Amino acid sequence: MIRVGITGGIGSGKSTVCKIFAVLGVPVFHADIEAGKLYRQKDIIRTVSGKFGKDILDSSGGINKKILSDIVFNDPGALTFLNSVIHPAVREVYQKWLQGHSNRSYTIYEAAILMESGYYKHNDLNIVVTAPEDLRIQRVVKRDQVTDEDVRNRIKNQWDDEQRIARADFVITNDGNSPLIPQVLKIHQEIIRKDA
Amino acid sequence: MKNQLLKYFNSVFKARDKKARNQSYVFLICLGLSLFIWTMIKLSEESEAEIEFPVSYSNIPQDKILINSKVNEISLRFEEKATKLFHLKFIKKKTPVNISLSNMNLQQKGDKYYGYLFTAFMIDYITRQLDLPGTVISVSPDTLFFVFEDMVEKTIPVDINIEISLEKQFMLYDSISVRPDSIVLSGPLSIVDTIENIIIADIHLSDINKTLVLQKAIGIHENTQFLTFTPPQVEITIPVAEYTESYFDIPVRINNSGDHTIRTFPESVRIVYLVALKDYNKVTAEMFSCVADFGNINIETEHKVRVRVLNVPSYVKVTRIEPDEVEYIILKQ
Repeated sequence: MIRVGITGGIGSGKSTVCKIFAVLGVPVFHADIEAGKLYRQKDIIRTVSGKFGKDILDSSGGINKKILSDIVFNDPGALTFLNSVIHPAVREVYQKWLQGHSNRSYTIYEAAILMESGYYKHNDLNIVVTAPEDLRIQRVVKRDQVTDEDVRNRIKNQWDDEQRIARADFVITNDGNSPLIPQVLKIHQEIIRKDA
Repeated sequence: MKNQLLKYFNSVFKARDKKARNQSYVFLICLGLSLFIWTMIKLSEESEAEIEFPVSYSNIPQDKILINSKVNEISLRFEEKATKLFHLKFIKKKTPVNISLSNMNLQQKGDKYYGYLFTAFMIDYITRQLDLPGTVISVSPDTLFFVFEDMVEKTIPVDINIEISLEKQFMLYDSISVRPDSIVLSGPLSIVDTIENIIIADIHLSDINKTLVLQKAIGIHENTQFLTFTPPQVEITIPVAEYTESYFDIPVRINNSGDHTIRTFPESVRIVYLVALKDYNKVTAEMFSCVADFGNINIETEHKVRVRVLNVPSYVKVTRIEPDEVEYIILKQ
């Protein structure tokens, strides 16, 4: 089974591309969604609140993601700690998930910081979704109801497309003009050919 | 002459010689008395004078309308004592002379009817009406001419020529309405036939921020004097409301896909619309639907299909669909 990673900057359209792959019957693992679920697990809550204090918990005893993201944004050390807790847990879930799809010709692992975390090295192939920065900002502003500045700050903390493309096997351009589906179909056929 | 008289009076009143001044006073008193007596004699004598009276017309032929310029005043020449003539001309209020057209013969030429009356034959009739002293010698003008046309009625639409600007965030809630939207026009056939509609023009309003109801009179027409408008005025309603922008994400329905199973990307689109604040809470996502129609799409060559809004509440204005084109994938045939 071929393991394919998909990444891209915020607002690049990773999710849309993954939906197309899913329609083609390819199982997609959404690392960020799974990570979000982990924040509700008791052992993770205990570890994170042990590091950052009880102030990080909301009234129901869960992790207040707004407070946590503020801490991480201003403290690179905190981000490293958080990644050291969450990433292994995500990978554990991912390994179990892979076992459930071992009969497929290929699966997809979608993560926002696939390249930054170095996890792309564990994949057989990696796809990067790109889009012009202005368009990405516009999409996120609409989707998340945030300001331009918020999005720019988040983009600053990510790698740029050049860095991602340098490590990718395929590039999908999602600029609103180039049709997405033919690009996905072409990659899909190529992966299937490789598997054969 | 005026200067000479003034000089004379100055010399009289400022004369240093008392005797000369007294003589002058006596002369002036005598002169004044003579003038008064002469005037009294003249006023008691028979005299002639011409006096104008306003005219009104009655018994105008039914279903006809007068289209020529009618005479509004006639002059009566009297013979009477000057005192009475003076009173009649300058003091007594003049009642209008009524002229009945009931006995006038009309001659038709084309669409028009012509008639005339000799005022000389109407002296007794006029004298009786006005209860005049003395004798009316003559009437001027000597003939009254009349031109009539058939009076017709026609229902015509009322159009408005209106220019408005609205305050920011305010929009027309509905179309501008005119009530009634048509009126009955009555008048001479030759004029009525040329009028297809009535345009109420020159309405310029700016920065409107509420609904306006205007009453506008009809009658601005070059031939208004011959025309009657029923009703004589219309009510113009400019419905204005404050609007806000909102949106719903609506799934794209697929039409005319034949035997194909098709999925679109994205599967839903954002319909952005403007809605009046008063209707904001009435709008629900279920009121909207949109469709990707594959009827005219060549699936071999075209990668995108346009999304069309199918259903939308009548009181919202769709400003855009995001995206307005979607990609699609054919799953099986």
